[in-house]
Amino acid sequence: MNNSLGSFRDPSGFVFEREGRLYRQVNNQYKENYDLLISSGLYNKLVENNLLIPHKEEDLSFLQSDGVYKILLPERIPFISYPYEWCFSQLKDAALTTLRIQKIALEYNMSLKDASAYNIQFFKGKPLLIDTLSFEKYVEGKPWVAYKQFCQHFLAPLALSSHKDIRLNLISRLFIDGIPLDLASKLLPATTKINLGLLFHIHLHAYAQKKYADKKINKKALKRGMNKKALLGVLASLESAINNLKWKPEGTEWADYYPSNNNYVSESLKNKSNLISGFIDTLKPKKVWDFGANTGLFSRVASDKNIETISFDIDPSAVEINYQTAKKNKEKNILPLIIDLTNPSPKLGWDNNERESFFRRGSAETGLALALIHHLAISNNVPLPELARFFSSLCNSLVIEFIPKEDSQVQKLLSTREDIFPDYNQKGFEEAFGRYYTIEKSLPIENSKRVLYLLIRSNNE
Amino acid sequence: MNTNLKTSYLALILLALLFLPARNSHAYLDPGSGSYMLQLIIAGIAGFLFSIKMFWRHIKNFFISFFYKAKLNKSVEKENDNE
Repeated sequence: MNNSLGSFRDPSGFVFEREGRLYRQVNNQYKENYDLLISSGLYNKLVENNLLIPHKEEDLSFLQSDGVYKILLPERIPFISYPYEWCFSQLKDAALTTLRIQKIALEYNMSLKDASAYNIQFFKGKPLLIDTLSFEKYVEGKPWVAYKQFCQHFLAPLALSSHKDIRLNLISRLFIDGIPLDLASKLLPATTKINLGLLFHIHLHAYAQKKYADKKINKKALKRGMNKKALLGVLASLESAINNLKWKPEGTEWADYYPSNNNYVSESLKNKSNLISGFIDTLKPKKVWDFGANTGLFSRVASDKNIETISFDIDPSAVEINYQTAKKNKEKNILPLIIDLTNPSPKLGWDNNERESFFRRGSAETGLALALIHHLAISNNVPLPELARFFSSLCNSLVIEFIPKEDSQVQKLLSTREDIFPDYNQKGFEEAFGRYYTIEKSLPIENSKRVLYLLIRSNNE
Repeated sequence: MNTNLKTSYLALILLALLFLPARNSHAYLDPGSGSYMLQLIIAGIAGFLFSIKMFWRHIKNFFISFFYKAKLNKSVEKENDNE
């Protein structure tokens, strides 16, 4: 029995898999806190409000040993995602959720012992806490032990995204425990020093960290400490700092994709939707991955059918719009994420084995690759045979659009470069993909020269 | 804006004055000495600002009651709803 990826730091317990199910072991040293979590009513309150992943207590007596108190079976998160893959509002909502959970916990005399962004996952469209063992008894007088972690995991990346550049959220990939505050302080524009929240929680915080780097905590100051009201004041200050961080998705090439595009007329969009819908009804998948989903227009053909859909795109604006739409309509089946197909999230952390790489995190039954191939083949020079191999390693079936050179979009891509793609044509496409897939159907898309294919993998393993 | 800047400078001075060695506390996470110190200061300021807010509300209500008795009842109701 091995610990699951990334689950080894907390002596209170850890997560492991057995026979395809995910369990959480609670060690004896956490007995008091676990019992308090349940008996105080905090567990129920959080679960009722969809803030904590619910679990059942399992009787796995063959696993009981001296150190083990209980084995929990939490509800399974369909797809694990990481903060460096979230759009601005996903990270902001995760931050506000963490603070909300901490406020509620204090009402029940408990407190979060960490505030890691990796403790939050998206479940049925909303962020919630998955680390059930993150609560400890609240001792009045003590400051919040997770304050620094909250600032590094949530406040710093949000501030950098909002005040400097949205792409800076990717810095989170480089630092396993959130963005160091001195780095954030250096990168943020000087005008952020006027913003009270950022001045205290980032700039002065970075300064205090440096000043006290080698010094131990003054126990006397701690004893004078802070009462619950003061702690709530700190939380309110953090909440206001997060709420004041805003970012508008515009000015990037994809956000206005649909209206101003040449080969997209609204009837042909509808026609394409219907074709895709028909193909999905034929396949009846339980999971769909939409590669290069833009704002999720066609992802929703799948998610509206109650199919679990991961909808990812390289553009933060498109993903932000996707997520805002999902929130507005209270959608439960779609998870928008920011992923660069030419450089997806790698394995990270201790032994390069704490955070799984993106494409190893689950299997896609059906992939949607719409208005995508030409970007990979032409702009990114990935040969069609290699694209075919890539998709076949991930998807049992594929709903894929072939965009020929005559298409206005491809003409645009070729306008500034030499055409070094002699094999990029329908025949080349069918040959390349035919090696791994059977071409079940191919239908032309109205008002365009594009063709929509339904492919099923030849040898299903 | 000026009061905020003043508070910031006050915070910086307090930071400079606070200093003492002590035993390390036992925790799952290392909260960081600097982070703990800053939190204590922010808590102090937050508490201070909260008292000021309450103080001004008191003064405001006093003047309102002096001149407009009806308006006082309305404003007290509004504040109770906000809390």
